[in-house]
Amino acid sequence: MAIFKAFQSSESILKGFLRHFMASAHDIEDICQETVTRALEAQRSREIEEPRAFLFGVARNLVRKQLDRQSRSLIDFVSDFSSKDLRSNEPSVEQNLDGRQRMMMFTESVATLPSQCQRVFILKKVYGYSHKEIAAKLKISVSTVEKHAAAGLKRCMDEMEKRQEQGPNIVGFRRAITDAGS
Amino acid sequence: MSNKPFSQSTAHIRTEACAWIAQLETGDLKPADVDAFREWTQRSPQHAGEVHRLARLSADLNLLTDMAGPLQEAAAHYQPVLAPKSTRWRAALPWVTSFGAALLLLVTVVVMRQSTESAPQQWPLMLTTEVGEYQETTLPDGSTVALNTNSQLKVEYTAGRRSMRLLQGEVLFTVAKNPERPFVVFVGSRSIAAIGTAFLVRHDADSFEVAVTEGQVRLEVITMITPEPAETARLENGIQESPASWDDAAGAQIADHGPILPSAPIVLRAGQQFAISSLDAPKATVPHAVETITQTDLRRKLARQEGLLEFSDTPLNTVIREVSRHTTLKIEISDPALRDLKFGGMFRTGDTEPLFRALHTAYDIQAVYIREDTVRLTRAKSG
Repeated sequence: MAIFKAFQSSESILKGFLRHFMASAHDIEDICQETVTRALEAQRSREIEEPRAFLFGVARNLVRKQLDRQSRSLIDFVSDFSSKDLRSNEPSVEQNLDGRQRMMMFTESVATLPSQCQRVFILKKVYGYSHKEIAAKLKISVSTVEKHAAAGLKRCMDEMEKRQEQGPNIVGFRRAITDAGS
Repeated sequence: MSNKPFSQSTAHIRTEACAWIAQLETGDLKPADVDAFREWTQRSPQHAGEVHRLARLSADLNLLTDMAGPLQEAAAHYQPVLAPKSTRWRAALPWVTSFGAALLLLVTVVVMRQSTESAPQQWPLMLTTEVGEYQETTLPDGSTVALNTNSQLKVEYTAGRRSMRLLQGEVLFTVAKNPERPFVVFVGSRSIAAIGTAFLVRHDADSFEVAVTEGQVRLEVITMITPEPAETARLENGIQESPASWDDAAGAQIADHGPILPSAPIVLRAGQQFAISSLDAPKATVPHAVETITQTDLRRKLARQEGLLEFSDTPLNTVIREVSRHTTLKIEISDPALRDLKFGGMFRTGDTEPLFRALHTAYDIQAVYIREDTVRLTRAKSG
């Protein structure tokens, strides 16, 4: 009961929250429904202490799952074009970093992007907007969105490789200091 | 491999692979696009591997959705710090702009390599490092600022001037020459104007230090009336009357050293340093303040920036003060007689155990944890 009450009292806030993630009212409605269903199921098996926070958590996970689904289908698509041995041998992304470290690294990479590129990347990866939605929102062309998305991805990859080469604790000072004549 | 005429550089392949991923993520592929993509991936195993890795990375980046909550909070907290200037972006897209801004602060450091992008950077920027952290940032003009442990630097570029304000800590500035646009660092009531140069500035509660590694800098006391460096039309000589009236809240707790500098500016050249420490010599006079430093000393100072601490014949008191800047561990010296013991060695910052071991070997000093975060150094009692 608590979940349902929480949903009733915060439905509009929840929808506002979801509107950050997706543009279509239809999608928002879907995720909202799914959120309540899941939360009610969860409530049957255990006590939920903070119903409202729980609802928002479920909603966010659903958004994330949707993104993951899209990403997985992209990986599958790309894999279809490459040989099998490549698929199995390719080392996984930065396995030696935990989630938090990766998150820090990615946010740092994103912060280094030029501002418009950063907006695109944040809309895409933090809020899960599609390229078309971003284009409409920022009033730029889809191909410009692609250009920014590509630049953002490249920056993250470059940064990750840099970290891998340097190891986690090495400071990136490149300056040759030793023979600075006076 | 890379010398073969037809092969492309890794960077080039990556750029193309990123463009492909972005296009695939848009969707709506036409059969011709699919054919082109197939042709591209089959150019070499490297092509196929790169695009595959990037697809996986793009999936990994989905974890950034977790940032949505913290960003919203951070935006609410930090907005005033950034002194937002209204742009059409802000009007059109309030939340994106403020989240973007908050992201800058959240990660504590910003590198702007490409200032070619149309939208302007918002000034000022706050750069900060935590205890034990080091960060180098390249500013839009190519100058770099390297923040040592526990430092705060406010950066503000205007058309006519590049202003920095060191609120706390230590920063190595490497300045890209541009006589049209002076590079000025403010510390308390002092300004340091650089003339194509590399220099190190340190500002703590108990010390102020400038060391020049290349070129020269002009050091002067300014009478500060306006609240922001950007609004100060020109620097004025003269002894400061009311201390630190325009220190930000963040820097307000840092003690200023009062009228120590003369009204005439001091010019420091490469290999010179200016240092005052209110602890060591509260009444330091100017002739003593400027001194020539040896290359070894200079190298040592810069090594400090790279996460290494080097001492030779240094009083233990100073050693501990230096080491303490890089760790949250509190280190006490219980016996006053130990304070002046001369000590040497090279240590990685933040890693205190090797230091304690060395002290034990050299002087039979023991490091005793009296609390979880506090160590007391005592001479082991013999017998």
